[in-house]
Amino acid sequence: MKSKRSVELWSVRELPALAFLIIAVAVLWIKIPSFRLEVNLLATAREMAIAGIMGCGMTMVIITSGIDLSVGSILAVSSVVMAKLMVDGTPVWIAILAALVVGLILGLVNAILINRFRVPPIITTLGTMGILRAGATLFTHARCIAPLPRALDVLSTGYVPLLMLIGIAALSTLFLTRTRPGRYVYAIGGNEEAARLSGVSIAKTRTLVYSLNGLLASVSGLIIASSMSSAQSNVATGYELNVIAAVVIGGTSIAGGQGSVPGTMIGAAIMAVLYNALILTGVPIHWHKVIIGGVILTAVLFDKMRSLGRK
Amino acid sequence: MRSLIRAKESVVLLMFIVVFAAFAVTTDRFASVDNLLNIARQYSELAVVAVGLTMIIITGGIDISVGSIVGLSSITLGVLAGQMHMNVWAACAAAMAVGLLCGTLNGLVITKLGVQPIVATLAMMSAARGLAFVLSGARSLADFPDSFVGLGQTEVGPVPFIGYIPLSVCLALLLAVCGFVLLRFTSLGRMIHAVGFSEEATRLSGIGVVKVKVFAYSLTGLLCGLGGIMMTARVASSVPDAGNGFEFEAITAVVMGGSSLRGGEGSIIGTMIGVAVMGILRNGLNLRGVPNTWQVLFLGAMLILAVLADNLRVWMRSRLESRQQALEPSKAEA
Repeated sequence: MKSKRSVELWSVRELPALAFLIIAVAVLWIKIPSFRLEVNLLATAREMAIAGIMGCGMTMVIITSGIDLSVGSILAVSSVVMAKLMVDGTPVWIAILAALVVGLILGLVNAILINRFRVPPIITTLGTMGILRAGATLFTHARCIAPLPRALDVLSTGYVPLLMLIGIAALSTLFLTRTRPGRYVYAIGGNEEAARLSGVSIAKTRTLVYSLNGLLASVSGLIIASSMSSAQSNVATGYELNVIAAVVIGGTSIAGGQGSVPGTMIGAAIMAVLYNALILTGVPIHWHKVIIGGVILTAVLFDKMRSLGRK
Repeated sequence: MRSLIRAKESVVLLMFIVVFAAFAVTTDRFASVDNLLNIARQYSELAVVAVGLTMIIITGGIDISVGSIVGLSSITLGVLAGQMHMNVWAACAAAMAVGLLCGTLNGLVITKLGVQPIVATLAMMSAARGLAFVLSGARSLADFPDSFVGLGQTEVGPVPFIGYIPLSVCLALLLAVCGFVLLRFTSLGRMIHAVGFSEEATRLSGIGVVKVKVFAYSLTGLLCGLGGIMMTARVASSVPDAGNGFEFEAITAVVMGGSSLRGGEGSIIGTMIGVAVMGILRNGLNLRGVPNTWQVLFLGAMLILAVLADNLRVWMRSRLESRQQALEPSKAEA
């Protein structure tokens, strides 16, 4: 009986990351009074929401054994388009809708390049990463677009980002675990050839996943634009690596076929809490990258140890 | 024509010719020997790094930490020689050792611990760049002896028709030739291809897959160290964000050159032409006063275009082969 339970414990992918998160939060809660402040917790939650919402899409992409390096650039394009529309006097909700559509379409473009023209995902999105970032800069003439209407502020106030994250994460989890296309996502990541031979439409599944990923990037863009009350073309540069790190820390395998949205949420929380802790404890900013690199590696090693322990 | 379709370097060669011709016609200063040598000097570091990266990509791996390792080794050199006034050659050796160490660490984490290459090198990318900033205190370091800085300006020659060639360009060419020979004519080179083509089959035939992979990553680390030294000598200072974005330029050059990210095939010649395309594109656009933003856009488009063109080439090759197969039985009957 006892051994059975320990086997079950080992089989929980997210366990090491969750344990790390709980310990980290507990230590910070006790040791650093300013961590406990509501303002600080909400700011950390907002950072977590920004990475976590993109992480939901990225998790799906990585489960199909793909990758998307262009999310930061998609975010930039959709938020500058939205800001321009708002500044030009378009109603706020139409501008938000436009941003979401832009994100969706850009994700679709990635999918078309990958499906139709058989360009590997890492190359496609490396290319679109550069092209879209440049596009955003050309669109804004490298100027900051501000101020945005106050109506947008609600998206980054209080618990709103966290609630958005919870809603999107719940929907993504339902999609991945309870629907047929969701299971196809795991199937093509596990063995693409076998999935194809069993009648799974790889192109359709991939199109869905990359489009959703683009859409979710633009949602994160809304929160960033709202909290800054402005949009500029270099927003979220290099953010793709943060998102990928959150996904990987959460136990999703880059090799595809395995992974979960709750794991990614834990990963996003770890990244947000860690950055927050580094800032609160006054660690020089140059050490941040060294520490984040170490954490990514440690998380992956823990995951390896866990799978060895299960064997 | 047929051999053109077969050769994986033909796409990148075509790109080179088109881009070169376009700039030679539209820009009067572009096609001068001085300008071309200047491009070669600026891109020699990228070429050195890309030689190693080609091998990694042939094994089916990837390394996105190359830019950060270049930065870290450049800073190592800067701190030891510029700040602590150590002997500059000993500092160079230390910088290369740091590069080698980072590369070997990548290789060991990937093989011994079974971490995916992109994740392992993502961690290294972050850690090495961070260390470069920590060690330098985010300052640029410049207090190198003249004997070292002069190296960046040293030229070899005169070579007929060209004149004096920068030492760094000679070094890059020499290393490219070594890489070519290693991949084409040695058993190690064949093992590198075999690992990328089918790791399982390679392992079952008794080849030490771990050793081959660790070699590829260590060599790339060492070459990054050398690249960092070359860059420091060229600009006579070391900055912590040296080599920033190198990983993307190097991967673009390698992929444009016809290496497949699926592993098993690749070509140093293709990579070198890829680096050259990158160099002349950047330089030509600079001469025409095109802003950096547009250049990035062009590079992104070139990357995707190169892979599309290569798909077209593979498709033509398979048609060619099936046609030949269709012809052969009729010959036998005749």
